[in-house]
Amino acid sequence: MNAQEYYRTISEATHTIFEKSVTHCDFLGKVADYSASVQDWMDVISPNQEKHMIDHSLEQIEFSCLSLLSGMYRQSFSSLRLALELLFGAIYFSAYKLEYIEWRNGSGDLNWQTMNDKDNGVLSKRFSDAFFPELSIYVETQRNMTKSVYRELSEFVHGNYSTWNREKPSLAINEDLIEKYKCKFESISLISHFLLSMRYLKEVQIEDLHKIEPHVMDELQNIAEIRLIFGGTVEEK
Amino acid sequence: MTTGFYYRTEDIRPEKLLNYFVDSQLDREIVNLFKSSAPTVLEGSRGTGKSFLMMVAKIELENCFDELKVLPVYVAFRGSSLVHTSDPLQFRHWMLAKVIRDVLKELRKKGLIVSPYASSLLSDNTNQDQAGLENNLEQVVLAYENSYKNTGKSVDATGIPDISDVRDAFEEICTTLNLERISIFFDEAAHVFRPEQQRQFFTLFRDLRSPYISCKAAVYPGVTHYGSFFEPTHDATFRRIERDILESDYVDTMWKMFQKQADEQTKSAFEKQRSLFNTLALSSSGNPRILFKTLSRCNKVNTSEVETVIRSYYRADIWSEHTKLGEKYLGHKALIDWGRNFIENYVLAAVHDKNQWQLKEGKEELTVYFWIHKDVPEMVKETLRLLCYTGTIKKIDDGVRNSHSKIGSRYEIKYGCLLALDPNPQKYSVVLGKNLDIRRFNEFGANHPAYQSLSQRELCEVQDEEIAKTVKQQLQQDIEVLDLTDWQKEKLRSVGVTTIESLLSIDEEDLIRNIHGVRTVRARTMKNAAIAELLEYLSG
Repeated sequence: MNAQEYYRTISEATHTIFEKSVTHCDFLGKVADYSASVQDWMDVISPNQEKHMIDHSLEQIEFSCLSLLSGMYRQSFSSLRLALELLFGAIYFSAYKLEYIEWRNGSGDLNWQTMNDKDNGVLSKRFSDAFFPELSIYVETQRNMTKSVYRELSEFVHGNYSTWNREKPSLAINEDLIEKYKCKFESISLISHFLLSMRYLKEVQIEDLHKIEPHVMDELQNIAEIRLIFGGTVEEK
Repeated sequence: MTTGFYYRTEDIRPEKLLNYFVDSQLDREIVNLFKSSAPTVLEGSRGTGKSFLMMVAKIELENCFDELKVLPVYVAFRGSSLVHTSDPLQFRHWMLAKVIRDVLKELRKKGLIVSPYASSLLSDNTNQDQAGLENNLEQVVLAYENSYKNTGKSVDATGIPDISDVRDAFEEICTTLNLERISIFFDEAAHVFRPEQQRQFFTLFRDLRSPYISCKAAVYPGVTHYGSFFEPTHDATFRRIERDILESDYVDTMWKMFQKQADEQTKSAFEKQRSLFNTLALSSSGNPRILFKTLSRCNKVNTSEVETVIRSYYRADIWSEHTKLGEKYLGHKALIDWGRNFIENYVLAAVHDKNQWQLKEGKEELTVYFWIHKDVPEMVKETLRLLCYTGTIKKIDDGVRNSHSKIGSRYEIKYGCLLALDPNPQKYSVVLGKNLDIRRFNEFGANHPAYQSLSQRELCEVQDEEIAKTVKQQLQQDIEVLDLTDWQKEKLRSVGVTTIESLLSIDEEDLIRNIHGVRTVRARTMKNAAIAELLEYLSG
């Protein structure tokens, strides 16, 4: 077997896994819908320089799903983490323009700790107070959820010992990891909609609200402060 | 005690909703009706669980999608109060656009279609075939949306898809994607007290009828206007949600609902004091939201605390919804206020006196029911309809003969309102709960003296002018009420913007031009705060 044949054999193995996975995974629609949702968000917010980061984030979501279906789980989790980082980066840079320019020029980094900082990050009270003060009471929960998701995804990126145990060295379908991906993806979808709502919802023109309403309400209708923006009702306690 | 009861279905995350469902016979029947192919209208006053059962049906359909191939779509007309147009076509288009958007969303989530412009890794050309269905519907939505963007301008209907196009599009989806049907759940279908919009909604409900579409709607009693094209009992299966306090499993069902939500400490406390729970359950007259509200107000579980809660809630708080209605629709204020006086001063007093007399005489049959002659003035009927809408009273049945063989309607007054009149509500409830007899009721004839104080002006429904009047009053409010920072308010005042109306009438560009430090984002935040205030008031 030469090198070409070797990789062709691997490719065939991934294709076999893909065929099994694609019928097994019941959440592909949700992944595709997430992309459509975020695109609708992009359509209703003012043009900004960071928008391309969100496009890249969506690309990474698709790559992560494709890798998952092909049985390349570590690569899948890695892309999912990058998708989360790029989305956080776009939101973070929308408020810190100087840092964006520095990052774009290559003189600054996209630093996860900074973006998710308790006091100044995108899920800080400071950030929420500036863009959607009523959501301040929820940011801690969202930040903790984000930390947890990010940590678990990082275990795969960094090759932690436990991840090698889970993932057999051969190419094979792994239902545990597919389930794990589904769970992490759902959390990311929730966090993303919360983040986009907190940062931009109050800036969306009233006549455009209906375009994002199905997406936002699908994820966050249990938050009364968000429901109110769309004309929903809340109960006086 | 538990304070985290869910008062509204929307507060519950969908994945947790089934954990709170009590599969009683009544609720199961309603859920099954919602899951069936029959067009359905469910009527119930606020807080009786309409939205909850709708969501249960939707989730159960989702869970067996692979087997049944029924696509459930939940549509809430939350923002309908914002659509201010006298052109019926525009509102109809607004509704249709909303329905289609929600259907598209569900199709995408199920993986049945993929939005072409949202797929990053494929070019449009590669994805054209798959996207055909979605593109067709997107075009329909855009056409509708463009038609209602310019309120005031009448709609040019040429080129805009009509209802048969929408039905055809849904049929194409079902046949192409091998779906049995699309079930559309319209919640808050008539939550905005606006007759013209309600009539248009029910016309659309009927027009959407097809083998591939099944519509379901939740409505309020008393004030839902179906219009001349829709007959609820013929064009749909009509069902009321009535949790009857006379049913043998009533208290047990309410207890199960409580157990699903309460924390261990509260459960244990009421377990030891079941009769106190029973009193609160009966007091709510079948309204879970009211039960949870009164339960969460009990800081301790003892007779004194429960009685205090019953007095404060059923003497005052129960009326807040009703009184708010009068503030919102000024033209109906006199009617609404009269309704409260009639119930408090005449009905409750008479029912309470009757029960006290029965008890004194050693007779067992007690009541929470009253009867109204069918020929009472229309204004009285309208008042009773409004009381049913806010849930203070419940209509039991029509065509009931009274003690003089006259025909009229029988109503039920909130059990808790009656208890609140007694010095010992708990003691009273123990006797009342066991001895209720629906055949005993106080009677109010066609010419009861109480009606004289109600002005017999010509009856008119809430019209757009009245909505406009309410809106006008809101527009006159000072910007102080808005959710803006002090700096923003100060800056607005400095350029002469002092009311919501003046803020709405000024362009974003003018704000940017005239106020130093304000650019696009702040200008929009300011304007959106004004609109949000208006919206909150109208749809609260």
